[in-house]
Amino acid sequence: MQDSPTKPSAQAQPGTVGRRGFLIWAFSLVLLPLRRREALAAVELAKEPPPEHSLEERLNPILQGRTPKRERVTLELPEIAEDGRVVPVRIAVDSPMTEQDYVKRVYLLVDRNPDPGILTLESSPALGAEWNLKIRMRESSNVRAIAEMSDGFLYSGEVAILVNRGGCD
Amino acid sequence: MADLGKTLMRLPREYAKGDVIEVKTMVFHPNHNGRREDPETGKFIAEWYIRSINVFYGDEKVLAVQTSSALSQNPYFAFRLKAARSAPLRVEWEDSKGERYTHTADVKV
Repeated sequence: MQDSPTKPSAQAQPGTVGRRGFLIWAFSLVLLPLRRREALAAVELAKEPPPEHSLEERLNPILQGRTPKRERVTLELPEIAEDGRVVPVRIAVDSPMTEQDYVKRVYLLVDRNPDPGILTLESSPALGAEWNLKIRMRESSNVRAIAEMSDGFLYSGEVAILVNRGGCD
Repeated sequence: MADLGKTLMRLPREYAKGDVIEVKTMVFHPNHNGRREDPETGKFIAEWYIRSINVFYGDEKVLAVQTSSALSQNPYFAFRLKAARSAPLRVEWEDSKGERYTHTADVKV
């Protein structure tokens, strides 16, 4: 019986990928980093993260020397936030929400976030005094909501929240 | 992000004139806060986040929110509205690039 010629067979031996299979696999390894770079090209990169801010920097302009009364504002967050990237927040203020007496402004702060100022909200008598949202918390921290009423008085609610996995990176 | 800018808005199925109703809204948006490091380059994913939410009830602006980058990805926001009259309710999200995303639903009483 004649042997096949010394030129390698196009068919792989059963149970192996063969030379062609190996070449395809090796080539795909080269392509993989290129695909990832393409995906990243859609995302803008920056050399530095944004600057951080102190609590005082955000709090002082809000308080302007006043001390909020610790009542009428209900601030609810989970006592232990499993994932700091998505922390549910409920802010409710005890207010009749009439033209004469309503919540004018609400501030939400997370003391230990890179920027403690989370949001400023301008409200009106057309609304009910309750808001819900989801925020990022970098670490376990005090969280505070300050409500300014139509008569200019400030009220606040504060809670201390434990965060399991930080959410700001 | 395939759904970028898609907005959702939900009102209760039934309500009467004068009821205070909960309005739930959401916009699909990465809400990058600029602090996430890309391990390959050592650089940071640049900030790109929702910076304001404005709500209009008919012609009246009833709510204006200014937000930092600390809202979660795909920002969720719910508020209460007194269903005083039939009018369109419009939510406008604006991000740090100046892009606007809008959703309007009709309040019917």
